[in-house]
Amino acid sequence: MRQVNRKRPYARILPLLVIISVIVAATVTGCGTSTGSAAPASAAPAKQLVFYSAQGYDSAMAKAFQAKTGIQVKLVDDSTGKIVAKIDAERSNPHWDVAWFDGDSTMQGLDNEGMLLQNWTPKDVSNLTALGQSLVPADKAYYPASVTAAAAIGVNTKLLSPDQYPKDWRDLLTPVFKNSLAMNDPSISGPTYPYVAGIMDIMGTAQGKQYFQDLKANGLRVFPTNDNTLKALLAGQVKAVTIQDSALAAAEVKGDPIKIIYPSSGVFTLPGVIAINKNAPDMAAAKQFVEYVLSPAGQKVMADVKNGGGDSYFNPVINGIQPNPARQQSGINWVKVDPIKAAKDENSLKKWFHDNIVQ
Amino acid sequence: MITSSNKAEHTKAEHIGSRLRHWGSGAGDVPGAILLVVLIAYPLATLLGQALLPHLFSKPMSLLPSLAPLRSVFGSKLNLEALVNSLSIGLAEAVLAIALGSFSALALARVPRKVGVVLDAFIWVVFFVPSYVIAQGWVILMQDKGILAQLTGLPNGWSAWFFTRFGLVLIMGLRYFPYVHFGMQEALLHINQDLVQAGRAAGAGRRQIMTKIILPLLTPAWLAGGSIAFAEGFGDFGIAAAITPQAHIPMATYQIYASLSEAPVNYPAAAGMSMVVVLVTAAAIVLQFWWLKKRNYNTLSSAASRDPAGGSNRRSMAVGVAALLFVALFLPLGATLCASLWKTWSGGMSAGNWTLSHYFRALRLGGDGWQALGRSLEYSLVTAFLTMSMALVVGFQMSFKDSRLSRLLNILTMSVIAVPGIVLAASFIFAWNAVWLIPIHLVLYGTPVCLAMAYIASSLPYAIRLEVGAMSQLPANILKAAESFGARNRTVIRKIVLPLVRGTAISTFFMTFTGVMFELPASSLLYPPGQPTFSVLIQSKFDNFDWSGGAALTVIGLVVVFAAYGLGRCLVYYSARVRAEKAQQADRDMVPAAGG
Repeated sequence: MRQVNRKRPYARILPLLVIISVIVAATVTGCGTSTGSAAPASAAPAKQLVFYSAQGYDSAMAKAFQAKTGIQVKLVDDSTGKIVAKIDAERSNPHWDVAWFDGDSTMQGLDNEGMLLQNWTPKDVSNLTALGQSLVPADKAYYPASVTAAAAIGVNTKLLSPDQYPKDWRDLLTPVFKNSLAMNDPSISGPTYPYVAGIMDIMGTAQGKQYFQDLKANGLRVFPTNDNTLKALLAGQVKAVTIQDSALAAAEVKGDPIKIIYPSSGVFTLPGVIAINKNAPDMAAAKQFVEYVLSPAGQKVMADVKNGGGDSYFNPVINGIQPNPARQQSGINWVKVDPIKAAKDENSLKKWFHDNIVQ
Repeated sequence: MITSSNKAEHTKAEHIGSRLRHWGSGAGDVPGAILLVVLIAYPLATLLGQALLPHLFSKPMSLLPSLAPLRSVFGSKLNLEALVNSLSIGLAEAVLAIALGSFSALALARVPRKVGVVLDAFIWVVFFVPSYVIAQGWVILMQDKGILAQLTGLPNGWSAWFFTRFGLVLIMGLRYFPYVHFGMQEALLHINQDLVQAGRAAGAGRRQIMTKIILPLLTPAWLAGGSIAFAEGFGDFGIAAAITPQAHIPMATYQIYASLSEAPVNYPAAAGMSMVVVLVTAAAIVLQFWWLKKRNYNTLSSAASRDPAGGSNRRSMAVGVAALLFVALFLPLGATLCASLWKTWSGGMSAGNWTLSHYFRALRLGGDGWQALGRSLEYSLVTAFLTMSMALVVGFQMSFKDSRLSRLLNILTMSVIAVPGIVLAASFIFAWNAVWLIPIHLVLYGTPVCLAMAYIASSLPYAIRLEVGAMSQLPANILKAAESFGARNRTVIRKIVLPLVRGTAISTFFMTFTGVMFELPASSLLYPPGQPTFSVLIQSKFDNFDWSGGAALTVIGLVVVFAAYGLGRCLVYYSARVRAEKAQQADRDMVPAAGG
């Protein structure tokens, strides 16, 4: 009996066939693409650009750039958190050329790890506005292409009368907002950390922490991300939220009853920053792309709501660019959050927030 | 998330396996082992390894070991609390899933066949619908000023009880009961009627037969389904984030996500926490094996059974399952459907707020959208086929080879279910983008192959469990009989094993097919630049606060999936009928021959 069973051709051949076919397919495809993005160690013959981005208008920008230059743009569009996770996981063998997302302290984190091309100056850099200039780091590792507010106050106009609208951050401590204010968890939501860091900046660390604790005592709700927070506002679960202004703008233009308020003591700059990989496989194309984004033609692509949705409601940082008229431009008191300090304090401040406010 | 069912009756398999220990010998389980190593063990090792070698992927690479990541995991009180929360929620939810799944399986065995087919198909739908649709649907329905409040004028705060861990357990139980249902359903067909008859003859009542004979005999089935439900709940992030956003129950996966959003991304900490998740799940599985080993469940009979029940009882059973489906499926799916038809989110259910424009917009996807849909269909078909084949091979080996290697791999593949998808996806970057692969041109990261491998890795554990379950139904006697008539293994597999597990193989195919269509973590971290999948496209709608657009795309994707599933079912039904006709024809041919 065993003699028969020792010969088991079928049982052995079938799995082997499967494995062989997988390995063959893998090798063929692996080799086939290794001249492209898969193995940056080898020089790419065809002109291309691998572009990681979390911006709403990235796809339109990629197409416009490709049409203008003939350089093929391969886009990976995702949330900032996933883009950064991907870049960090690739760090020993990076595939990307250009990265673009909101949040200079996050980008500063990548710079601190030595991943970004430093001391490169795009042409036309003198076109940056004063606000724009102030957002360029000393080592020139990344450039601002737009500015939004890390947090503004969004109120549901169906639930509050205009005289109840808050004017500044501290107005949110009044009984009007008892159990009716929400924000995001900075440990999970990317743009929320600059907001928390910004409050510490303008109020001082001790008072800033006290402010969040007072909000908590007034019934502040902390949701994981913009998604939950904005839905809570629209459904009427809360009367006001403090989240990134472009997210509020996105809902406002769709016809939802939202009014965006920029607190008088200041809102915190959340620049959309663009950077080049220090070991970019396609360095020349990468530089050309960043220059295109900062040019008037590129800015026009960004400001078109058809391309970027809510992300198109930004404040320009390039001189002579017409901002989207639907967005408030004047009367905003911008407070610049120092990205180097913010990046340094990030983990300890997030932990404090989690232990004292979220919990 | 890959949804799937489980029909594993592992111990039965092991029992037969141990009897057949000498049935095969030598290196028979090596091919399966290689598959699992390449697809699961190696990627996971590159990630979990960072818990001990935190600089494994730094530049320059360093193999300097460090206990710091593990110390930080075990030293933190919050992590401990998170683990306890995840465990208790996973357990509670698994118990609920077992109760619901047992009820639905037992009930469907009693209702009239036609009603049963319809209800069964809807349970498959519960299975297919992506978790985020269910979770989001419940939120839209239950929140203050949500759909229910709008329809009935309930005051704010009416649903506070729901957005707690009780609501979470409830939703997860409703989400994962099909695992138990499908496991039990198969096992129920093969209950040894002799034992039931014996019980009746000894004067046992209906209730006694159920509690003393049928349910104990089904232990492997509900434990196997329950263990998947546990692993799913233990490793959940999305449902908890949606249902309990403000109650904030720290769970193990929350801690993993928080370390992934640290700056720089703290992979060693995520690895340490994931390692704990894997160990706990593995311990749960080992415990289950140990529990099953103590008893003998080898009570298979080949005769299908159908318990005769009274008419009114049948009707109430059918109504019960329909009610379960109403809560588990129609409420959340209906809420999502409504939301996809709203002009504005804040407008809610008000009369003037309805539009089809999101669907028109979604169908006018443009070239990119259709390409993404086509791409996802291609991935789905290819990975479903490969997963089905591999699960057959590995399942066969696990069922009939009781080697330590296969048992270890079995535990490992199950543990993978509890690892958050994003962690498994990141591990594929580390594994297939590693510097040591550059000289041999095997940097698969960034190619479609890498994404397909990740899809297979995340669906294989479910598929294998399903195959092992189906194969454990094969009476060892048949195989032995075939053997003693001199049949070679090839013949045994082709003529006996394959025909008997055909249905399961087809189930694993559709499970993978639909899972891949909506899979997100691996898709978004691993898709080749410039070639997004359909799920990535949907997610980018949600990321840009176009919820109605995202919901409309999801519904379109679901329609595609249902169409594929319906087509598959028709094919199976048709081929079964053709086979039956052929067999009848053969019988008819035989009779005159014998008579003449």
